[in-house]
Amino acid sequence: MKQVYMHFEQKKDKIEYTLLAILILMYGYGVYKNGLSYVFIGKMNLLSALEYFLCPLISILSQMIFSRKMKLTIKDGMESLLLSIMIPPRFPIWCFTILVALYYFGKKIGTKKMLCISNLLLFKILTSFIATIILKIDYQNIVEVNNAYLYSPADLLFGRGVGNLGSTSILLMIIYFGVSLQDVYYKKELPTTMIATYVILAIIYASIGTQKDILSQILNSHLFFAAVFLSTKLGTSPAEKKYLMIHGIATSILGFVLTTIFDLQDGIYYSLFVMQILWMFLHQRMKKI
Amino acid sequence: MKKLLTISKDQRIKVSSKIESYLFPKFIYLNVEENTKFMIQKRNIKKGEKIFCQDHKTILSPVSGTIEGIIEKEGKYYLKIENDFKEDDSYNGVKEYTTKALKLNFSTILEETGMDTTRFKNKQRMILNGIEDEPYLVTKTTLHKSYAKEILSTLDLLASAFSMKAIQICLKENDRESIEAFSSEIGTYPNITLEILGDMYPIGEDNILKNYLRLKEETYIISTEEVLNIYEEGLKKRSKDIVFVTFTGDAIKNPMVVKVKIGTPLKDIIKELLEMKKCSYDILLNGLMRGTKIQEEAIIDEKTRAIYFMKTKERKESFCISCGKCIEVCPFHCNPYRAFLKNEPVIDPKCVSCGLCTFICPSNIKLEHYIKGEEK
Repeated sequence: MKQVYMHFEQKKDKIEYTLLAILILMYGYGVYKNGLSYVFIGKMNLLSALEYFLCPLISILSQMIFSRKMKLTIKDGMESLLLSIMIPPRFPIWCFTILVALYYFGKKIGTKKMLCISNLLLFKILTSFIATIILKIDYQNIVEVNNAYLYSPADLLFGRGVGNLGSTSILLMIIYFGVSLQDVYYKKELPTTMIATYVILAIIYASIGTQKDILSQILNSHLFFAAVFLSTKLGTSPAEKKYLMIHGIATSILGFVLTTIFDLQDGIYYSLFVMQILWMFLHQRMKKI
Repeated sequence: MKKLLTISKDQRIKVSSKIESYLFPKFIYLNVEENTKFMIQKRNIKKGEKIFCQDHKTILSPVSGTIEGIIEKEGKYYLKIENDFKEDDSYNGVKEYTTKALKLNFSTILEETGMDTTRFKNKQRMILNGIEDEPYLVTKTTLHKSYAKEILSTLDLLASAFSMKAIQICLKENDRESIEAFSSEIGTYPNITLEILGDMYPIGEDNILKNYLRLKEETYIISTEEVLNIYEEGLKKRSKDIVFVTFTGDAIKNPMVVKVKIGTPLKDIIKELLEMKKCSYDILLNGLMRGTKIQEEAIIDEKTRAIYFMKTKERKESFCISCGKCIEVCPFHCNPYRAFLKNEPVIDPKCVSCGLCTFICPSNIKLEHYIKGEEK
């Protein structure tokens, strides 16, 4: 019987170094913009500004502990580190619960194909979750809490938490998307269609409705986190390109409706899970064809 | 046409086109099947004597010696011949033709030897597929290096005998030795051109090559081995009794190409020529992408092109993450993902078992078990 002995191996070095460079630069910028710059004008003490160094520290430690068992690479550690600072501040607990449940449920059922997420995703989410919980973060800095002011488009893009650009930043997410494109297994069609659809819907909605702040709708960290990271890692999303695009568009439409019309802040996550389950059933039917 | 993949090579696996010979094995084993018709009456035979007829092909003895009988090895039956090392080439009886006579009567000469020439008729172009698709395989390179002149003259004779307009020799850009070998000889053949292609997999597959070159006219794709068979059997009236086999892998210290008698046991070559590293290894026949696992007791036959000694690796299958890469890389637009979901082997006539789906799978799923082409 014929057998394939060779196996494709990605050149990981390139991705690892890119991630590392981005992380250091962005983190440095975040510490300066949202921490040190306030220290210089006397609005924050140095300890508060450096408090957020704990976040990556926790990520590195948890990665070290987990990696002994799971044989993870530096790239995986870097990715989870990046995630821990770009995960949206109000990433819902139920989402974590479902992800963990999907992981075990899928494994137990033993279908091998459906209802499962990878070990790696679980590890990354948990690492970020631990970091988030320990810091009890809502990712807002002290100046912001004491002197509430409106988000400017620049804030939406670059974030406002000290060393945590991800608090409101989608820039990290965009860079993460760019880095992920180097990964041959990354499903780029999903984030592309999801975000594009969302942008179109936001423009249409703004032109016919009362909602005029298109930027705050589009530069939404939940949307970007769901599209760029979460949707691409779930094993229950389609594999074929055409279905991926349909899936992305449908998820985005449902997410937009839930977020904007039903005013659900977690709308995009609900939409993602509804679509995953829907796809699962559709797929079970397709298998019989 | 889909973009093809470049298979990155492992620097630890060394390849050498250095040729060694192993032409005097003590015993020769020739595969016999149910439909084999024996043509010998005595135990002692000479090299080149007709032994049996199998699938309308007469098999000649590759050595002179004594027939020991039929033995069983790994479920196959072999005729065992003990070599008496007294072979000579006097049986050949090579008939010398003048160039003019050859050009005029080449098709008749081929037909006289029992060769099927209908495949060449009404073709306007011929492509020599000199591409070695499997990684670390240098058998064709060795043949090109050793027989460039013979290949070119045979191709030229075929072109004039069957009124073909042009002949292209397709080689991979990283096969420098073959390019050099043909470049130095090609000047005297104005109708033969070299076509250098990128290092992609599986560009050596006939259908892909045809699509890649965008050939519209009637074309016949011929392999290097086929040309040399025509040269040997048609022109020199010799039966094929030797093969060139690449020996390589990460468990071998001295990779090489061995010129070996058909029917030689692999064990003899390992013992006499190869230096193995102290590790457990798997032996793979004819490729790392489309090879089959064999044992040390295997016999070299006329289809043997390469033998790989690879350190034993355990690859654990994990969950399918539905990345869809298997569908994306398939050059023939097959859907191994759906076959996998059905959880039963699917026969897709488009599939050529190139192994790219398994190669690319991040979950190490052996997709070649789920999707297969039709048996040829």
